This record gives sequence, C-alpha cells and structure tokens, in this order.
Amino acid sequence: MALCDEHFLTWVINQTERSIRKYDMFTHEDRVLIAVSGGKDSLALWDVLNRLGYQTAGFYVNLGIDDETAYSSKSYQLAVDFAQKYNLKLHAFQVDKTYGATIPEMAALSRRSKNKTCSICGLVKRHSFNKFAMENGFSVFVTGHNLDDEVAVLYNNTLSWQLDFLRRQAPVLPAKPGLIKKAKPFCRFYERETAAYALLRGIEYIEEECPYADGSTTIAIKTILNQLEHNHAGTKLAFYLKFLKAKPELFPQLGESLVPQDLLFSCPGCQQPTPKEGDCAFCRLISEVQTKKMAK
Amino acid sequence: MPNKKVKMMTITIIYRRTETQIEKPVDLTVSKLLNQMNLLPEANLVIRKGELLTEHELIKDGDIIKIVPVISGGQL
Repeated sequence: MALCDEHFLTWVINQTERSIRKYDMFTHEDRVLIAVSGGKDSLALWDVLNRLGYQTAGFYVNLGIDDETAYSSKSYQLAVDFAQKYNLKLHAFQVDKTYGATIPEMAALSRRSKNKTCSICGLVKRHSFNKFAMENGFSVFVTGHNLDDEVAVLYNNTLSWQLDFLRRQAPVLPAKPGLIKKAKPFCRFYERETAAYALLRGIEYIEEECPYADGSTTIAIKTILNQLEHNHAGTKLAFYLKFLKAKPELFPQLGESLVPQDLLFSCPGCQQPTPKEGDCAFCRLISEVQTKKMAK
Repeated sequence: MPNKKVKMMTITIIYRRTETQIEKPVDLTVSKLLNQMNLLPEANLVIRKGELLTEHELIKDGDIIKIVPVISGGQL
C-alpha cells in the first residue's frame, strides 16, 4: 500500500469503521468486549476501536504457557501495559486457577489427538469468552481475526468440505440464546497491515509466536496462500469476498438461522449451548482433565 | 575484458532474535534481500531505524535492518 505513515494509520481507522457499519457489527451504544492476547491484531484492534470512541473492555485469558519462552507472562504484561497506557479496563482470567490445569497440562492429560494443544486452547478460550461476556452484560464480543486468518480457515474448510463451518463463516455471527454476538472488524485487513499499524502506532506486542503454534496447520496454510498472493496479488481478498458474495447461493437457507435452533441443546454442566445432547465438549474436557489429575 | 568489480557493503540483519552481519552488493533493495533470504514480503515487515520500508527501497551500507514475521498461527 503506497501511503505515508500518517495516512496509513488514518486509512486503517476509517476502513475499520466502514467494516463495522457494512456488516452491522455494533454501534456506539454497545458494550464491546475484545479478546486480547497481547499480540498485534488484538492490541491494534483495541487501539482502533478506542480511537473510534466505542465502549470497550479487554478480556485476557492466561493460558499458563510459561515454559522457557514465558509466553503467557510476557503477553499478559503487554496487554496490561497497553490497557494502563490508554486507561482502559482489562479483565484477566487464569485458566489453571479456575479449572485446575494450564492449557499445556490439559493437552498432556486429554486423549484428544490431532493438534490437540491448539484445539484445546481454542475450546477453552471460546467457552471462557462467551461465559464472561454473557455474565457481565456485554452486547458483542470481538476478535482481531484478520483477512489472512479468515482466508486460512476458508481454505482449510473448503479443502475438507466442512459445510457446517463454511456456512457459519462470516464477519458477524448474530447472538443466539446462550451465545453472544461475535464480530471481526479486522476481517478485511491483511495480516501485514495489522502488524504495520501496531508498529507505526508504537504498540508493543508479543512478536514471538506461541510455542505450540510452531508447525501448526494454520501457519502451513498461510504460507501456501502467501505464495499464491505473491504470484497473483489480490488472491486472498478475492477468495474471501467472493465467498461471502456466493454464500446466499451456496447456502440458500442461510437467512433463516445460522445454527438451527432445534439442533442447539443446553449443556447440563455449564448451560452453554451445544450441538449435541449431554455435556458439551468443554465440560467433557474439564471433567476428563480433573479426573486424570486426581488419579495421579 | 577486465572483471568489473562489484561494490560491496556491510549490513546487519536482525531476524527472529538473531543478529547477523552480511556483505551484499550496493544495489540491494528490500525486495531482493527478502528474496535472497527466501522470505515473502506478504509475511514479513522490514524496518530500518523504526521506519517501515517498502519493497523497492534501497538498503544502504551500515544499515541495521530488522525483519519482523507477521504470520500467527494456532487455532483460529
């Protein structure tokens, strides 16, 4: 993008506002909870939403990844520093204090197999974000997912024809009973644009990747897509936007309900919605981890 | 025909916490440097003295160049 630093920063702010309006994400009346990881995307998003005057608070989930990389400690400190600098409210949640085990411990104890640390982390974070947002009166929950994240998911779900996941992929997921509305205001920015915003704005973020993401499928897919983009500029944005445009034809009943209500059950353990009767995946995981930990 | 001597320069590269000094011909652009390091501009930012460089900018003798990978992974 051929813009000077100042105009680039303004462009990011204006484009974010356009996406928020275009996809009807939220208004200035909403209380917006931001998933904050200490990384470039979430801190840049918090910065932009704050500058746009939205009512925001951050929510940080401490995963307990504190091996030699001290990933959780470092990322938490960066989130705290950012919140203090701009006088913003950061809520922090420590996984091991509530559930008795860190994410790496859960991964070691659980029988889930493929990419289990990342999938367990995602499951715990989704549950915790939704629970906190619902219990504390937030009207929308936002994440810093960028275009590269969205395109990587789209590519992966298309390769395996995960129709249900494809049907649900959108810049906004409306609220459902027990599920808060979710939005991704950065969904049209390339990952290098959000990183550039953070750098130019002087936002300190954790540059190191989570040690468990090393060799992840997501990174492998992003590398393939970046090679495509390098050879054919605009491929990623076109793939995503044309998918969004084609969705009504691909999924004609989309307007009726993203998740059919009759397929949603309430988990007897946590009361959060689940697609199957009985305990949800999160409660089954916590039960398994706690049982195995006690048996040790 | 006498060999035309290529003028060389020394630059410092900081990439993934490792600092390396290398000798390169003086006509080195950001794009060429990334290409020689097998890195894609789509996945990396190139910074000199806190300023972002575009792909076509020339790298100068004595420059300290920081390359910041921007890809993040894990569960999306």
